[in-house]
Amino acid sequence: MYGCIITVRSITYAFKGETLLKKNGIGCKVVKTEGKESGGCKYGLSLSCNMVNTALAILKSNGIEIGKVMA
Amino acid sequence: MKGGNFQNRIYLDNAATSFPKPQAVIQKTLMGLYNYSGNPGRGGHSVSKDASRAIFSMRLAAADFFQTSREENVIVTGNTTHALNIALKSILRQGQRVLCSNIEHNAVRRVLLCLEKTRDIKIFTFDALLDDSAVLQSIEDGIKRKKASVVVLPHASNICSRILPLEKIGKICRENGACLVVDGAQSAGHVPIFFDDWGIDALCISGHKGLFAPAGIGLLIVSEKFKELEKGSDALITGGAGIDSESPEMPEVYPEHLEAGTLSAPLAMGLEAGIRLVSSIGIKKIAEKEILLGNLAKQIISSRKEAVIYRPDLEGGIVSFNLRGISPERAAEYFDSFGICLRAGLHCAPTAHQSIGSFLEFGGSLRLSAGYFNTPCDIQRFGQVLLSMPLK
Repeated sequence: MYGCIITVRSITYAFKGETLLKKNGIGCKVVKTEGKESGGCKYGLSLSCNMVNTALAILKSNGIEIGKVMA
Repeated sequence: MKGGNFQNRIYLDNAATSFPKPQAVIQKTLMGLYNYSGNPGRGGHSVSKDASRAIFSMRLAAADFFQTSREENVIVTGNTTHALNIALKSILRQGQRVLCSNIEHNAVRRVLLCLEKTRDIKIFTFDALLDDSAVLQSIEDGIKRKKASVVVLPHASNICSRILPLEKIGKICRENGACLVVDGAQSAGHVPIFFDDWGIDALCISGHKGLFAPAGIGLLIVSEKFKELEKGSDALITGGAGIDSESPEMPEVYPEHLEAGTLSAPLAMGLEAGIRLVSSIGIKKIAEKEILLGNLAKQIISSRKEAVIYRPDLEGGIVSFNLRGISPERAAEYFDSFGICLRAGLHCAPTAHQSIGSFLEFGGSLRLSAGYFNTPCDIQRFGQVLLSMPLK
């Protein structure tokens, strides 16, 4: 598992985001987030914390709404 | 694969469901049952995620096939009927006016009649069997003069080969602010559909007809406009969606907003295989073959002097006909005794039969619906049995 998690609104968006990030050379993995931390049943993208800002930019520019960023 | 001749049967009821299923679809569905039967969108473990990924893959394939840019707007349903129920019950509010055709399947007709009772909607009808320009004029009049805010129609009829000019209809709806709901049960896989470009707001399809998938999976593809209109409506089905479990409401995000309960990854894999098969064959090639087979069938049927063919001018794989002197049901039994599978009756579309003229005299019709995997030999054999049929 990577160091940071970007939560997204659904597993569909998680897979969409994973496809986009991998296309842009950012390694990531779809994970289920911890309920207490993420505020309920959610999915997220686990990735290296170094790549979070780049990843956020890619996801947002492709219409993927971001929840929280968790370390 | 062999033609529609399966185990010495000739299957000519493809409008009901495609049969037999192609090997590519069977293999993928079986693979799904073996390896992808986890509960998608529920767990964080690999079995669940593999199932989720299979469904996501299908959404991507469907979005591409139906030419929409947003795979998250591809919602999994059980079939076209389920999709139509969700679509119409989501956006038709109290007292609203809806325009539909005179050839609707019960999947639309019954929903509208139910909403007429429960939500006092007003239903107006246009004649879908007129020529294209008359149909377009009727729809425009329905929106402008009858103030219909929702238009629902079949892209293709299930009892004759009528295909509506959906691109132009979409333009009229868009220009006049009406929401367009399309019953694509008979057109998906037979006619190209460009969801975004044509301004469709809700496209309802089954996997098991023209897309060759197993029964039990369908799709509802929605526009951003539909999502706005849907806001605030009571969801048709509520339950677990795998996310936002702490909330008492269904999640707002699509597609989960309209997907309660466990989805079937094996069926989704079968549907994706069917979509890819249709793409590889080419819809144009499929349509051309169906027209050829339908024309051959009409030629043979018309050689029987007792035959009545409904709308013989329409070209496609669906031919509705009767034989004076025998009911369609008894005729279908006779065909079945020779291993030829046709469907007789009202085909869940009584107003369509009223519209083509088969209702009063015969109570319905025989329907031959050839599919891509049928052959001219299948139609010739049908013809031999037809010509041998004794009448009262």
